[in-house]
Amino acid sequence: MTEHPVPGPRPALDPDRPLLDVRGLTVRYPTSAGETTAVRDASLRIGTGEQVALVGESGSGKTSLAMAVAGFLGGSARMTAEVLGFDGAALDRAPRTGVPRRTPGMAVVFQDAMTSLDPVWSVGSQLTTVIRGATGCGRRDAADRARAWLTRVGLTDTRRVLRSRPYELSGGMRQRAMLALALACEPRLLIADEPTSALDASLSRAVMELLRDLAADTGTSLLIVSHDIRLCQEFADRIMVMYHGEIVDEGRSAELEAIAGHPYTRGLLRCVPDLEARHAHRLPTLDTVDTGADLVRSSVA
Amino acid sequence: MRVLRQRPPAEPVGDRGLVQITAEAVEKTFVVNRARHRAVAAVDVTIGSDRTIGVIGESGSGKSTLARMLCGLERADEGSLHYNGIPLGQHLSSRTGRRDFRRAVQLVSQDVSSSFDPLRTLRDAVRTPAMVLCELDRDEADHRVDEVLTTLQIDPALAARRPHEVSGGQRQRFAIARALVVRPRVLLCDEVVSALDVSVQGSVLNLLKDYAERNRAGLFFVSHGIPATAFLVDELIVMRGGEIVERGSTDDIVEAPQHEYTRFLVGAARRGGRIEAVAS
Repeated sequence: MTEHPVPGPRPALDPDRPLLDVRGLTVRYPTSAGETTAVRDASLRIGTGEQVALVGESGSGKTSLAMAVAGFLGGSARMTAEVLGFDGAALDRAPRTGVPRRTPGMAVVFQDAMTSLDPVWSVGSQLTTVIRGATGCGRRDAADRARAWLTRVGLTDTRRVLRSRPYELSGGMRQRAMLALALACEPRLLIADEPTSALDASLSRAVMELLRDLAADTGTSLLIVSHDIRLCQEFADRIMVMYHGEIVDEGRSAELEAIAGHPYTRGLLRCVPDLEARHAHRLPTLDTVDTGADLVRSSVA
Repeated sequence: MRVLRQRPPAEPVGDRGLVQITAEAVEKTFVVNRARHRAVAAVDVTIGSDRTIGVIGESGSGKSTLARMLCGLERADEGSLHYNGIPLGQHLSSRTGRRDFRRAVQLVSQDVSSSFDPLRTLRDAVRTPAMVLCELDRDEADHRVDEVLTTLQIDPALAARRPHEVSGGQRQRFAIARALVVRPRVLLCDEVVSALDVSVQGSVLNLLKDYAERNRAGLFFVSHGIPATAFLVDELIVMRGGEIVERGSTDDIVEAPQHEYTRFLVGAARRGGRIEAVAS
């Protein structure tokens, strides 16, 4: 098998020229009970090569925000934004809904690989189609690159995986195949929406490590959407906390504890047990910790 | 005259009697892609209703396999397993033996979404073990289910739903309810809170601690998070590469870890990171 060269590290982070620049983004969904605002006036900037996490509970709007940026919002959603720039240019948006068109250079890893890979096509044909579309290379070259990407995401039996349909693979293998699919088009920004929640605990760690290392190797910026603040503190450079559709806190992972201003962030961080918890009779929960204010809990538990 | 083969009567498990599972030099090897992978290597451990034990270690250290062997879901390649002094295999070969064992020892596994029947309601899933293992009739079992749901602070209305209609955290609580409904004397938990967000984790761990204390039940808690494990258990076992590298009381291990790997794990936990963050 020929090892195909994959792109080397990209230039380091330049804070003045963000790769993704979003300001004043609002997402609304019409419902039977009237219009719901899922994301309210959110602003975020992601630098080249930066790994950022968006944390919040179910229903906080984190997935809506990420999907709005990637252009994956459903037909009924309406979106407005003051600025929506990617790689130095404004994103092309649909006039009626305000949702951006899917942009080359942005790739998404979805929560559940089983439902987001095409069940009829083999992994190999999906992968080579993406590679040929993104790079314009020939069929044989694309097949070589596909094998190289599967090896990079830690799949050893590449011949079998290429010929398999998604349902013939295990959950962990499927998630890795989807990661290969997302990275094979050489994106500048990779959006991972709860990339590990369909996996068990040990597999999810392995996949997160892989995601972080591959993004760092290729210089791809990473936006992780997750409910797990500890996982994000460990795997992201910077964390944004979302609560009821708004970004309520933002800071570097290591400093988040010191700078957290919103009661929800403080409560969430206080719930993380430490070694002294062994002497405690009970562990703190969001309902019992003193956050300095009453929290309005989201309707989805 | 036909001579009926007489089975040895199953050891009765009194509700308050000591329940003990002893593993001596157990080994387990899996073959993956034609390569042999030793998951558990010559491990000695005794678990029982009188002790709470935590197992920590990185992914692939053999902790889940050990838990599955201790509750009879996985056969050991080498070594012996005894349940209250009787070989576990012999105990599980009879229907009454299996029933006694399952009533006394329950496992909550990490992959909760695949351990529920998607077509049956959650109430049905929790009620069945109460009817089969505790021989309760439907009404009594339903009563027991309501009791457990109340203890676990689960809204009883959720029990009418199917597994995919509730959130991950709620499903995890139902999995715990399904184990607790038979009032086990020993509860084995395999990474039960790793998939939950921290605020929900705290309440689930509090519930497990309450159950163990109130019912004087034993715990065997497998996890890769030291702080949560240390909160629950009195004794810790540290596993790496299928072997036990250190064991002792929770305080001893946290305050004065002896083995290099344990020192590294505890150090990482003190720095606030989770252990695999820096594990090589």
